[in-house]
Amino acid sequence: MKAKVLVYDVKTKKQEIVEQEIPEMPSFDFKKPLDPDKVKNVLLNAGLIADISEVEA
Amino acid sequence: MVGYAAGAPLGTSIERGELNIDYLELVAYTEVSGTSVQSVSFTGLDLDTDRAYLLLGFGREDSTGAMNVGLQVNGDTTATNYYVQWLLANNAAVSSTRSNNHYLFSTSAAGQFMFNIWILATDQTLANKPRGNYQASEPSSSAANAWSGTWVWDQNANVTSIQVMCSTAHLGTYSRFLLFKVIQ
Repeated sequence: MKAKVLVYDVKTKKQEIVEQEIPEMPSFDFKKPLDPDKVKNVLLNAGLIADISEVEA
Repeated sequence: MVGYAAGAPLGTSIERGELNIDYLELVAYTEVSGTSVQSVSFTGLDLDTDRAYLLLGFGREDSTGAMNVGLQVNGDTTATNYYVQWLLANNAAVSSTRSNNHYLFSTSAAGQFMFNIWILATDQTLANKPRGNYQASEPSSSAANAWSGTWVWDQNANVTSIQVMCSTAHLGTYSRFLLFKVIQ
């Protein structure tokens, strides 16, 4: 897709906004809730819980 | 003995009777104006020669929606060629993960953010993958976020250009960036 890009050349000190073909960028959720199963496994492996049922309760 | 002359500019040192001046040189200052963009690209760079770059940024999302902000180099737009490990603090909540893309942080709709990243070249003979450490924040009175992390471009090559690459084309006007290099 075409996207606007501000290009700054450090050698000439000149800048311009151009249209460039760039692929669609992926989305990423920095605040995605933690996977409950992964959290349980971390707690289990760290010895903080004896079994999963403690978390389920 | 290394001493610092009173009143000397930051980084000015006097060593063994010689005046050595090591400092950061501003090689680029640019501001988005007229229209929002998806990317800001700095060209004409040479990391192998310059050894390190410091990029400072202040930006704003132009009120459309959440946007991720990341760093790419040499026009390599393949997101999976980058890895980022980050720690995010949001009020009392702290989260962390490693992501296989170029995103350093995110900003909310109409959010304003700041970031800085040091990009360093490692020795050519030791798999010269450019690496960086960064801090980023979205200061806000109601929902402030702060990131700390590390970034790597998973390629063995010199860096000749740097792109601030967003997930959407809504990096708004008045966003501004300063790029420094080290003078030896």
